[in-house]
Amino acid sequence: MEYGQFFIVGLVIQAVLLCVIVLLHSAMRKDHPYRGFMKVLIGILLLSLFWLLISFIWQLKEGWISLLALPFLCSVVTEAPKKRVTPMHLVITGITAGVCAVLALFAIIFIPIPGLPAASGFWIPAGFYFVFTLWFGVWGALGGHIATWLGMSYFAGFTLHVWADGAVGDFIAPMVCLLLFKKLFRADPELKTRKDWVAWIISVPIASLTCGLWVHTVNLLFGVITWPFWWVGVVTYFLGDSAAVFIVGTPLLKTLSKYAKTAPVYVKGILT
Amino acid sequence: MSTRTLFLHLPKESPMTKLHPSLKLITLIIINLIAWIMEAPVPLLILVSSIILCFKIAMIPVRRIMRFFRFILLIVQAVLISYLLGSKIPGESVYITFPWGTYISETTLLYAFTMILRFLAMLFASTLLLATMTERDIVYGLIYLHLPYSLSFVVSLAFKTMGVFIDDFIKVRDAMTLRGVSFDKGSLLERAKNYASLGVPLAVLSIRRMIESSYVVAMRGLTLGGRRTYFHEYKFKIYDLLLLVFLGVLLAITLLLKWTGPLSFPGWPLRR
Repeated sequence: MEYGQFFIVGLVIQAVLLCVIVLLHSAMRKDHPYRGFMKVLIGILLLSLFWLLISFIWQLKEGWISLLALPFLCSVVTEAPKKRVTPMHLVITGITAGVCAVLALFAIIFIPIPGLPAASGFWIPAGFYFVFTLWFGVWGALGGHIATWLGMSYFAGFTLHVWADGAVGDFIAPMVCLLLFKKLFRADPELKTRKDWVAWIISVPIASLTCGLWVHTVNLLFGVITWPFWWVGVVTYFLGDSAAVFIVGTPLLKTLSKYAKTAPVYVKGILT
Repeated sequence: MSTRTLFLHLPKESPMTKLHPSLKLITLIIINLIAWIMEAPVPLLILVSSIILCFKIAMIPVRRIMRFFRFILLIVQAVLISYLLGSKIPGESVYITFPWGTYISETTLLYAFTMILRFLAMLFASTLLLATMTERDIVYGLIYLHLPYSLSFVVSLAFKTMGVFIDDFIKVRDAMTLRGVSFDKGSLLERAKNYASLGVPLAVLSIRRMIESSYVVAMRGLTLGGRRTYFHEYKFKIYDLLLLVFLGVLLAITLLLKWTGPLSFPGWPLRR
């Protein structure tokens, strides 16, 4: 298919899907349990249309696959905070960032990947900021974002590529996990029931895959890799990130969720 | 006399110490953008050479770039592998054709070289700026860019927490060592499990620090909005304004030249 035809077909399909989902959303009553999820789908399609346009400008046919990355963030915007955002939330972000930045430095120094710059074969901070995001909402994810930026930049320089690639990716990944775990599955971080475990086991790989798609599309845009290596990068990222989150994060969730819930810093929703 | 920056001791006579902190951040962003926009090898080579010259002007030893030597090698390796094995950029001479369909032409080599130059430009520019900045510069730079105070507070707290977390890590590791846990002996799996067991006490300490810090912040009356005064003040001088204008003009010229063609890659459009 010619690139122009691909663009038009993609545009038409997504426009039709968007219209259908907007109609369904408006037809649902306000307290319908899937109304929030419909907002997420609308976000997916709006951003995928945007991403389709971007990939057309850059002649990046593969870029539309990364539409999975950003749209989940839409439901953060649609969530109305029930309590005020206070300086406590900033403290959560700052301390999470400091903790995870040190872990990022450890991971890069002790478990590097030959051939991949400022990368690690076992991204230890992922276990921490995924769990902190489940406990403290978006503030944990922001901490992970700043931590990755600080940690990777120490080795790779404070470049635009590092920020767009690793730092933004490490904000997207825990947010996707949080939205799936808490919004979609409505699971408990204490992992008490089978449903909680299933939610955890499903959310983490989806989040890692989303982040892998984002990271390697950014690498593609910056010219670090070519399309044949895009798939290799996505798969290795998916496997490595998921393994680190499961190995480091699962014991933390199981052991400390009850303690975290009693802390005044615990965030029940996404923002507050 | 010298000033201690993030990476080294910088002589007080260095012109970079006199720059406004927000201008240092703006310079970092603009040079990264310029490097990302450019796709022609000769202008990128000129940009890299200019940045290295700026090291001399700023009285920063050029050998400071060598701390990133390993990363530079990794980037070069990653870009070369990706483009040599995974691209199909047509040119006048095809040197090698691979069984999986990709090939190496003279345009492939030129494009790979261009991408390497782009990364070197971003890396050297960020090293130059970060070598002349202190933590206070980053925090006050964000403040003087009129970004929300919350952001500079979070970044400042992250930097402070990094040092505290390292102390916590050493204390917990030593305490566990005194109780008979060995981090140096045993198989890789045993050592990994021992290190992973550090995660729970460190997470507990992090949560306690969050609680204590949020109480401290509340007692000191920190709010998210409102007018604030600061202990240090920085004024924009004439050379700051001149540099800002120069960077703005440079960015505009770069965009214009990219749009009109001189800064595009000389191999485009692809010759078939």
